[in-house]
Amino acid sequence: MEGIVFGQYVPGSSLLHRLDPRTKIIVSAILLWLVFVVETPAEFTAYGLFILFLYIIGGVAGSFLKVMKPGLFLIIITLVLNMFFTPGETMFSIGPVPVSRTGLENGLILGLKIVYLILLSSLVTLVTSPVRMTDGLEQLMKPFKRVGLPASELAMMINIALRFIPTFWEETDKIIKAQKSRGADFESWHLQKRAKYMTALLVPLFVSSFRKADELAMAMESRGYVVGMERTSLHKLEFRPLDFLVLALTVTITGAFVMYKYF
Amino acid sequence: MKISVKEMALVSMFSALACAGGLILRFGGDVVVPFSILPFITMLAGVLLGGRLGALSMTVYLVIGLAGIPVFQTPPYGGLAYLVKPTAGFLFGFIGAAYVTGKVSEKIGKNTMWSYLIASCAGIAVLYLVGIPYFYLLMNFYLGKAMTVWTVIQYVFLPFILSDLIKAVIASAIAVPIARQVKIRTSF
Repeated sequence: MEGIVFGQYVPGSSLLHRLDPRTKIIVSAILLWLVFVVETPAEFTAYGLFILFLYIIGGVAGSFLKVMKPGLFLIIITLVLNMFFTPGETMFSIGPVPVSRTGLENGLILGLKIVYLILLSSLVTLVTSPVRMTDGLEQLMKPFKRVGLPASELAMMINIALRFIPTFWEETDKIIKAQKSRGADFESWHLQKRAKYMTALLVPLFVSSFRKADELAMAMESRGYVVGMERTSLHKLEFRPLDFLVLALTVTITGAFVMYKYF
Repeated sequence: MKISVKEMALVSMFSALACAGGLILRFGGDVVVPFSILPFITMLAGVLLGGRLGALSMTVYLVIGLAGIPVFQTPPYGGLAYLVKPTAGFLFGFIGAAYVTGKVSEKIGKNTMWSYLIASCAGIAVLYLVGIPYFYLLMNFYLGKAMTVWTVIQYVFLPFILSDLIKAVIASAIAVPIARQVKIRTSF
């Protein structure tokens, strides 16, 4: 369960680890958008190498394959769907099923795009701890406070939720075991029985979650938590020269690339 | 938007429950519950917390997932890449479903199974009203697979609607004793 709470975060002190989370969020948004812009094989290769390079300087190259694993199914589905179900000039056949040229190309391009999307969005979580990530999100959402977005409350709720995931996980486990020892059969296919046992699981789970919320709210209030108050943070985020450099480089290179491509 | 500390704590608890519920399917081990309990949590969040807080708790769940913490039920489990999955629309649907379920049950305002059942069914309708168009649009315009509305319905509606309705019945039945025990509604 520890693994879930920290996401895929790999602790370290690489260049990417040391960047401000805000920089990482903004840059990754630009890079994710760029995935939809690349078209030619040369661009795809260059972009792939660039992502690999990022993984290496982040010191997380070892996680490269681990990150890809959950997405594999999605990629294969995309490839197969496009290969077999796109009409067009037949290139070769697997058994009786013809594979069209456009289908294979579309499938490969889409599959590769999904690979890049997964790799890029995972990279941010690999080099940023969830707490710093929420800090960064909070700071980025601050300007929207004017229009009524409760940025710091939202960040606080995310942090509390992250903190309580393992608690509820253990709680669920405990209740299931307790009810099983009283004879509950959660795998029963008898509909009425199944409903009965779900009740035996969910009622205590939800009641305990309300109790926990009560206790937590009281603890927060007794420590002086007031909604909407200006608060300081233990780990203060600050933009360093490096962050400005990375941001400026990303914007310039992306801008140049888009100009060159479309104008 | 005004929110009290108590409400914040409740919303966080339900988001954590949703995350834990999403994980049960994947890391069940010896406690495996062989179906998704996320619809239960959505409906109960709506019924027990009311529309506004219920929707907020599902939003927090979604934000946690999209920020990259692997809390979703199916691969790739988390991160913005999840949005290119055709079924991602159902996650947004959960927010709408929690909201509508909550609003309808607030309107009826009775602690009975039938009133919760009506609210849950309205919520499920919203879930599919958001999820199916997203699936259709992504299939046709992003993944480039021409799919008629009918095929989409065969893929993502018919196989699941029955089990969702059964879950709605169970959720409404469960909501009555919980609501009686926690008496949250009186504080609204």
